[in-house]
Amino acid sequence: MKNNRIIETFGLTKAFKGGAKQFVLSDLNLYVEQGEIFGYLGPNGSGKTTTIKLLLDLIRPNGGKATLLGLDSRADSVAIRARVGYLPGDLSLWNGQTGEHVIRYFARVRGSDSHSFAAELAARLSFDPTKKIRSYSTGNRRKLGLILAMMHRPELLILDEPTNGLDPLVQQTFTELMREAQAAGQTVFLSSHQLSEVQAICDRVGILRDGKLLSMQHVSSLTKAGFRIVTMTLRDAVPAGLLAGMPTVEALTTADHTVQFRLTGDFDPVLRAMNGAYVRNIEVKEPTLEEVFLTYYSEAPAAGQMKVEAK
Amino acid sequence: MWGSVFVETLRQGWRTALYWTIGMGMIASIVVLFINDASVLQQYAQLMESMPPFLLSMFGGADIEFMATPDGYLATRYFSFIMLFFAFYAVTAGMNITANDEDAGIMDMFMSLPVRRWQVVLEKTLAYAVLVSAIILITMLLQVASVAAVPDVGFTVGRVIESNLNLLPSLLVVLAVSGLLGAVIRRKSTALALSALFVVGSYMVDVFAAAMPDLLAAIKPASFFSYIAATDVMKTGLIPGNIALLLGVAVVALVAAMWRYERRDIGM
Repeated sequence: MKNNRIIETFGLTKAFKGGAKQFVLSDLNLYVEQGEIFGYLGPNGSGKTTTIKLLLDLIRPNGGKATLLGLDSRADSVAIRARVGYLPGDLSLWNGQTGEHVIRYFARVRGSDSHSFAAELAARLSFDPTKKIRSYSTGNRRKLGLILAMMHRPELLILDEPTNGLDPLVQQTFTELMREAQAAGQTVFLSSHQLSEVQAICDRVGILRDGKLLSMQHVSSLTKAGFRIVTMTLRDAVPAGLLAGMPTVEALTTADHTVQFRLTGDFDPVLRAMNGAYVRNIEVKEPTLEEVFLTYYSEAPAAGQMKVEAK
Repeated sequence: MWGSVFVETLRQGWRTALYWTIGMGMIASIVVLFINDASVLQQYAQLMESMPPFLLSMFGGADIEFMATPDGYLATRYFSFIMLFFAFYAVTAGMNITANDEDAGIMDMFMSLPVRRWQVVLEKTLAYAVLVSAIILITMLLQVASVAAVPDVGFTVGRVIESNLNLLPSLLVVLAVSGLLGAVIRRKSTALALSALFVVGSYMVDVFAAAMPDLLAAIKPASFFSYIAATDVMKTGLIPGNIALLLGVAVVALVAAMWRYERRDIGM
């Protein structure tokens, strides 16, 4: 296991027909290191769940391979699943059973005595396990899923949209649980749409689009690298064509006395191009993960182009 | 852990099995208690005699003399077609092996546990085989109790027991084939439709082959109903060759289901 890589994929490829369209997760190469919280980002249909299902051997690749905990995802799938906790994006269970019964059943199948930790998790998530599954709201089903995924203290947690449907207070508890899991040496691989959540708890992120991994970087460097959001307030009305056509200025918008743009280079050429316009204020922001994310989806990358941060 | 899925399947399935047992037990008992004097059998034999040979064959044969006996009555009025009712339960149980949970999205979560797919198929099939056996045995006991309640009619208790037990191998075939279809086909509705077609088609082949032997004799062996041979079993007892063949088919279908489910994508 190179550098304690808990998850590593090598050219993982899966093609299948979803409706009338052919979907392809192609040539996926990513890694997750021990003890880190890795965020897997992408819009609906980008291949996040497909990747997770491949990792768990629920579906089989057309090409490439994956290792989890140093074991082959296909040949050693049972040994892997004994050490992994999984929360699917859309959790379904037997409606006629109680949450408590399902917790006990899963513990029996795992051959583990995890009831005390399950009870602790239920208390922290304010979850009542005595009710039937059919009576649980979306949020409560999510809580049950988290308990089932975490109760045996697995080395690796694979969570597909874990906070969907959770209220803000429970989301806070979830963040704490993830931090505690990380402190205990557990590794977390989570897919999410909630970029603020990813930014708050993840160490690194992978960004996926149309079945291709576009970027894999530390959250901090992802938001720092590349560009800044600049807002300038002028004393007079913004002259027509100001800053237009500059190679380092993108997404330029103007309104009355304000000009806003993404700056991908130095400030000096911009200041020179102001032609003596009186600038009252300059505001410079690092982009949020959401702004970075949107940048990835508004630009088609060149074929084979992927940003991977050097170690 | 081995056995967990088996026990849980029994736990989740016993209530439905109980309802089926009550229903089938009532039918089995009523059919027996309906004959409280020999004149009913005479009327029944006369009715059969008036039928054209084509229809008579469809009702289980041309042996009017045997059909006029209590055992013959049970063979043609109960054991020849009751399998269709039992088969509904077996098909439902077969769908429960993988198809229903996969259709509901439960398999995504469940197969993230450290358990082999073939093990899930095996343990669930064995659990439903136990439930199917329990339904047959309890139904048999209720029918035997009904037979005991009308001692003057003259049923042969041993043959009644054998005829009930004779249904079990065929039910296991239906269970295993339905399980196989669920394991092979990802769409539950398609698997269910094909399972129903398997049962009803087998019945139709058996009935029409009996009525038109010259035309359909060649395809009769393809119907599992032809190995139930209710009239023959009531006359002469269990037919070991048929039982072995049906159990063999059930085992082959089970192994094929385990093999296929181990290899295909789940929940796509």
